[in-house]
Amino acid sequence: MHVADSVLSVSIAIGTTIAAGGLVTYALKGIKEEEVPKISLLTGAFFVSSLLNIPIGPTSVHPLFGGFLGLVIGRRAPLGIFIGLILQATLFQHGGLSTLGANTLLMSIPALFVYWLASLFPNIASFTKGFLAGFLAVCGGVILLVFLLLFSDHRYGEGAFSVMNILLFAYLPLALLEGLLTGFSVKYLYAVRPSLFNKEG
Amino acid sequence: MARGLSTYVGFAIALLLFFFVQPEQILAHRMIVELIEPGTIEVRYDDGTKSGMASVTAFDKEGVILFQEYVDEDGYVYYDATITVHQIVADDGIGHRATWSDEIEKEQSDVPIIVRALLGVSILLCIAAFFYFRNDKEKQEQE
Repeated sequence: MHVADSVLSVSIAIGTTIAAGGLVTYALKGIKEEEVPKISLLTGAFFVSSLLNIPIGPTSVHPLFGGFLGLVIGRRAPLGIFIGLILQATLFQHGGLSTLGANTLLMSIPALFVYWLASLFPNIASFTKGFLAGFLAVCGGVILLVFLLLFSDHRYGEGAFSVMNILLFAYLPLALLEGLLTGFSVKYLYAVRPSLFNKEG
Repeated sequence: MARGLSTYVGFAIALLLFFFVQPEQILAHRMIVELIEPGTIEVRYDDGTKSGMASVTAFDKEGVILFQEYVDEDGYVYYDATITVHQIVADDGIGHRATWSDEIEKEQSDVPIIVRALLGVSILLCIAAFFYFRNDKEKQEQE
C-alpha cells in the first residue's frame, strides 16, 4: 500500500504532509517515557511486516499491521507508523519521502479508527476484536488510497486502471488474512499479557 | 516490568528470525522497470512477481512520449526495437511507480537486505532498551 514518489500530485503530497504532521503531533502529546519501549518494539514489528510479500494476481501486497497497532498502542499508533515508514523509505526504498505524509495518513487513520471502535465496544471477544481490527484497518487504508489516487490523477478511475480493481482484486484477500492473523495474535496476547492492552495517555 | 519487556523483545526477535529462516522471501516491496534488450521492457516487483497490470510510458531525450502501453500478463512490453528509449516510467495504478533511464547505472545495493532489516530493528530495540532501563532505574530510586 506504500505510495511511491511521483505518484501523487504536488498539492496532494503537500496537503497530506501537513495533515500527517498534525496527526503525529497528536500522537506525541502527553507521551510518557514508560510508553516508549512498547511503541519502539511494535514499530519494529510494523517495520519488518513490509518485508513479507504475498503475491495476489497481477501484483503483490504485504501485511500492514495497522489494526494491531491501533489496539495495542492506541493514539500513539501514528508515531510508530511514521517512524516505521521513515525506516522503510530510507533502508528499503519502500514508499517515498515526498509521500511520507500520505503513507502515514493511509495507515494511521485506520489504526486510530480501530482504537476508537475498540474503546466503544470493550466487551467484544478478543478474537473478534482482533479480526475486525485487522480487517477494518486494511479496508480503511484501501479506501483512503483510492481517494488519494483519484484526487491525484483521473487515470486511476478509468478503464482497466480503475482503482476499484484494487479493492476487490488485491486487498480484499489481504484484509481477510490480516484479520485472521490479528485475531489470533490478540486472542493469544489477551490470554498471556492482558495488561498490554491497557492504554496510557 | 521485566516480564513485560521480554514479551515484546521476544515478539520482535521472533519476527526477525522468521525472515532469517526464509531469506529468499525477504525483499522490500518495490516495483522495478528494466529495459531487457531493445524492444523488450520488463516490469516486476523486487520479490520476482511479475506485474500484470502496469502502464509503461517511454520518453526520448527531449521528454516527448514515444509510446504508452500496458504490460502483458507476464509483465513485458514489446515495442519496435529501432526506437531509441531514453527513459521509461512504469505505474501499476496502486501506488507503485518505477523509473528507468539509460543515463543511470544499474541500481545495486551492496548491503544485503537482511542486514538493513537488522539495522532498522536494532535501532528500535536500542531505543526500547534505553528507555526501559532508564524507567526501571528511576523507579528503583523512588523506592
